[in-house]
Order: sequence, then C-alpha cells, then structure tokens
Amino acid sequence: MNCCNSQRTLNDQIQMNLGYSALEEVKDCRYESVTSQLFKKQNEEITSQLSVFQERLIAFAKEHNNDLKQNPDLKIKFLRMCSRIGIDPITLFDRQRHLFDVNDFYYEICLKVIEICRITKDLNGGIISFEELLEGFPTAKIAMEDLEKSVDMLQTLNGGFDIILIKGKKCLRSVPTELTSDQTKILEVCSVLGYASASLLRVNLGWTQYRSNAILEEMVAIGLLWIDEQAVGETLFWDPAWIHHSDIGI
Amino acid sequence: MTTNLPAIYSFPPLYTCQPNALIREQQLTVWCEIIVEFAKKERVWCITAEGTPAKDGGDKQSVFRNDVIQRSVKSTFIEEIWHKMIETEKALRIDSDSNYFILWRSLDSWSALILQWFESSGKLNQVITLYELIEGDETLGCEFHGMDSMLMEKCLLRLRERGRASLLKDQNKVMGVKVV
Repeated sequence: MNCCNSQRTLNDQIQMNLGYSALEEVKDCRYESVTSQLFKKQNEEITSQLSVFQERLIAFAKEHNNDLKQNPDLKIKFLRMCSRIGIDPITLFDRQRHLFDVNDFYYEICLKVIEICRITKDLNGGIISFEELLEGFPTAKIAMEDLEKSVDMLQTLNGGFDIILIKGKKCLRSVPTELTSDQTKILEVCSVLGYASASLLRVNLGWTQYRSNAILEEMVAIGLLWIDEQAVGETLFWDPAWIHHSDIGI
Repeated sequence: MTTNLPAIYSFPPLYTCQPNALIREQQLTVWCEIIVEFAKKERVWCITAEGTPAKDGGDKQSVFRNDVIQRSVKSTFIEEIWHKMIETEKALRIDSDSNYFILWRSLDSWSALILQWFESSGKLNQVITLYELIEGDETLGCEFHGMDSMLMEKCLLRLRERGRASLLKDQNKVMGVKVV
C-alpha cells in the first residue's frame, strides 16, 4: 500500500521536475522493497531454524525420555536450554504427548501440592513453606526446581495460590486472604525462634503493646498462629511452620 | 517418650486449648492421633483419664505432660480430648472406673483378627481359655497377645453377636470361649 501511494506521488513529482532527485526517490523505493524482502527472508530462515531446533529438541527428548524422567539434574539442564531460546518446554512436550511423561509429572506435582495445602490448611492457616511442601514428597524424587515450576503452573488457575517471601524463604499461600505487611513482619520474627510475643515485637520492631496484641490476635483468629499460655511471663504466639523444627529440640 | 511421637508433640502451643475453632478441631485430631500412637507403640491397652497407663503403676509419665518443653494439658481440655476420642471410636470408657481402653484397631477389626487366628490355627470347635488366648505361647506373635482381659471379652462378645462364638462363664466372669 505504501509503495502504491509513494508511486503515485512520484509520478506527480516526475511531472513536476524531471531531475535527478526524482530518480533518487524511485531508487529509495526499490531499496526499501529489497530490504524488506531481505528481512522477510531472514525471518523465514530463523523461524525454520527455530522449528528445526525444536524438532531436534523433541528428538532428543524422545531419545532420552526415561533419563529425563528419572534424572532431575538432566531435566533442569534441558529445561534451562529450552527457556534460553524462548520455548516454553511445557508447550514443546504437548506436541507428542504420549512420548513425554515430563509434563504429566508436573501435573502430578501440582495435584499433590494442592492436596498438601488442603490437608495442612487447618494446621497452618494456609501458609506453607516450600521446604515443608518438599517434605510432602517422600517417595518421588523431586527437586526444588520441579516444585517451583509446578507452583508456577498453578498460577494459571487464576488466584488461590500465591508465593510470598518470609525472610527470604519462599512460602505458598493457598487461602485468598492477603497478608498485610505487619503480618509478614510477625511471620519474619517467628522464623527465628518459632514464636512472637508482645515484648519481642516491642524490642525488635518498636511496636506498642496495643498494636502487637491487636495484630497477633487477628492472626490467631485467621489461623496463622497458635496461642501458648504456659510460657513464663507472657503469652507466646507460635508459627505452625515451626512444628518441624520441634524435632531438633528447642 | 517423645522419640516415638510425631514432631508436633514438642510444639508448645499444642498444650493450650486454641481459641480458633477450626484450629482447635485440628488440634483435637492431633491429640487423638498422639494418644493412639502412644498406646500402640508402648502396647498400653488401658489409660487413666489423666493420661498414664493404668496397669503399670503410677511411675509412668502422663501422655498429657511434656517435661522437655515444660508444658502440660489443662484438665478441662483433657476432657474435651477424651470426648473426641470416644466420638471417633478410638477410645472406650470403662464403666467401673474412669479409665479408657485405647482402640488402635476398632472392636470389629480386633474380633476379626481373633477369629482369623482361630481359623488359621485350627482351634475351631475347641474350648480355649481366655488366659490361653491372651498369654498363651500360641498367640505370642499375634497383635492381640497381652490384651487386657476385659477388652478381650468385649471383642469376643462381638463374635458371639455374629453367632460365631459361645462364651463359658464362671461367676459372671468369662473364662473360656468356643469358636465355631
């Protein structure tokens, strides 16, 4: 279209002044079409190259299907390569589904993650650390990377699952309530000793008694913390994520 | 004692009745599991309301007390736990005193196990004394070996209900059993 337009204006120009400048315009137009053709060609080549590469990858995965399934290390390397050239490995696997269990493998993990979240919801208020999630897979050989990938896949379910950071540790939230920044801070305090208390919050965060108590009690109400009334001095509020540390001794 | 029990047994707030209803429900379930686990591991058939094994004298420690973390369950909450235990049929209250039988298998499952023993060892149509059944050499490897005699009686009553056993009594006490 552009070309036609410029052609028309060119004719006008040629009629107006039959000079060198008119010829130059014609040349420009030709150059443009040549460059666009070149680009197009290059584009096609790259796409075909990419598709060839994809096919090679598929062939590779086909050949080493069992290895991919069994060896988490190899799988991570494979997936990393896919992501580097911009191919979502999961869409890659979908093409010949019967060949790849890798995808099924992730779906399985997703299901298991949801299951663990549901079972432990009443125990921890719907927040679970990735370490704890990983402990839910005692039999299958699963690396943290697999788990993270699966949790990423859960995002397509539109909400419900959210990753939050508590003191740099990744946690999965499976209940729809948002954590306020105050609540996150308390959970951060809890990750040191397992519990928080009004005096601990005063010393560390400079909060008043009122503020601490209000937030702590709210967190008990939504099930994120457990009350311990038998400690010396004051009431302690424990993070259920600490249950697994109890083994080691306090 | 803590070595055999789940990690949550060392979690201090477990010993305080939780105000959040959902969490308390979960807490009660955890307690039931702990008691059953404790009874099964230690092979204790009968536990007093305070949580100590009924037969071994008073020297054993209560399951509701954890000296390592210095916590113990308040008596009102213990009652709630027992209530839950009975509700879920994991415990059976003994009428004569305030002790409880802990059922890590249900009564039906126990009676089925006993019946299986009778069938597999060829003791059908024979009179077996209760003592033989509980303490005898032939039941040594069985899970019900050493069972409390009153609990055994209850299991055998189940068998009688099904028409498989007849009980021999002496002065209102079951002495022997014949399984057909």
